[in-house]
Amino acid sequence: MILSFLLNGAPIQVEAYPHQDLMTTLRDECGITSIRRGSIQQNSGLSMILIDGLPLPSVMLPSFRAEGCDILTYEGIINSDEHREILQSFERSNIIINPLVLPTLILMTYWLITENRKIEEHEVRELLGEIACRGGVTSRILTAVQQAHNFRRMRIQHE
Amino acid sequence: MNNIIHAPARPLSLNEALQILKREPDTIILGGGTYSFSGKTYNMSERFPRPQIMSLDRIEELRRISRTERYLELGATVVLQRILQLGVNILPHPLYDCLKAISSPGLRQLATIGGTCMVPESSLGIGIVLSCLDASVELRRAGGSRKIPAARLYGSGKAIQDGELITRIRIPDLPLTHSVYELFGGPYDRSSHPLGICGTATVDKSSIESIQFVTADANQTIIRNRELETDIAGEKVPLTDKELQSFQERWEKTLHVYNLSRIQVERGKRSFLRFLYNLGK
Repeated sequence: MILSFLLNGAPIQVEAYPHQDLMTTLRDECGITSIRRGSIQQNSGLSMILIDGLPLPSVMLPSFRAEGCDILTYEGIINSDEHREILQSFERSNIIINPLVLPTLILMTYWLITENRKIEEHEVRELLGEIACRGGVTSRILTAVQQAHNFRRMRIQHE
Repeated sequence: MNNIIHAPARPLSLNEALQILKREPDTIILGGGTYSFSGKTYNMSERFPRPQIMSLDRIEELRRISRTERYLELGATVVLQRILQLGVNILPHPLYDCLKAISSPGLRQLATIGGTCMVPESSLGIGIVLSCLDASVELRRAGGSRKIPAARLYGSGKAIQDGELITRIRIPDLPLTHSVYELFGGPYDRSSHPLGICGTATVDKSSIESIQFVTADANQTIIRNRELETDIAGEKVPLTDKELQSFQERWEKTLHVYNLSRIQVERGKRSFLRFLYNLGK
């Protein structure tokens, strides 16, 4: 079956198998390598993408659900100002993150700082908790997210 | 890629879905699809050509939530996160706690209440909560509908017949004063001796008006002793030590009937005692 959707802002058409999850389709057909299947059962954090502005685990989503959707992955935010600000805040907070986890963590942080609403600490912990490795969501990660949010706010104010 | 591929059906109305199910009884029904696409059942079927998929995500009727003075009614494809957003003032406490404990926000945005009920391991999660709250499930088939208690979904027999779909879950609005929901161990790890516990009670003027207490292991029948519940109802709180011991012993006997490990029995027994004790507070 042919699926049409927006991937990182560009319209795309791919052939997908109905019984296949969206992560496999995105990886195999669209070359999106920033998402992957988690090694632990039910761990879907590493496959998180933004679908119509909502963070969802692509590994648990049937491919056909992507029809007509607007999908944003890590590859779509690499050249954004927010990406630079997030990296900068992570570096300043001295956080060492597993490179496999980093793209999804940055994408989710991007979602958190671009959401125009107050996001509670427990929401941040819950969302990032599934992605961040063994150490969990430490106060350093929380500080980095807050800092990235501040960087973005300052930049928007200047503009 | 295989040449024999059924395009997934995405009906827009319930009647359309029921007709498809009547025509193709072995259709794979997807609510959110989270369980079918989780690692546990990856690829879903070894049959070739693969059976058709029917996704219920476009049926507006199944996405409705309604509330009256007597009950809360949830459409089968309402996602868990949306139910949680109703808040603790509308949702019964054990249901709120249970949904909150299910995985991550991302998964809760996809998983539906109807689908969650059908996951075998959910007997120790949503299964015990719905049973404890005396919820009922509406099943529809082409040309008819019927209601069954939620607990029957987890019984030994086949509760849902071929061609039937879960369409609504009705939760009575009970004036609960005490409730507990606890989950021990993980449903996928037998060595953790998984056990779910849910209890609700209404205490008025130092007297127990009603009490429900259920427990279950993953993939197993819901354990409940209605006779014991009837005997506890009407007692004055706080319960005396003698009463507590007598009720605990009867509950322990009930647990021993089922195939539970020693640790599970101990957990069930202690949680029951703690719940009874807390009724007096």
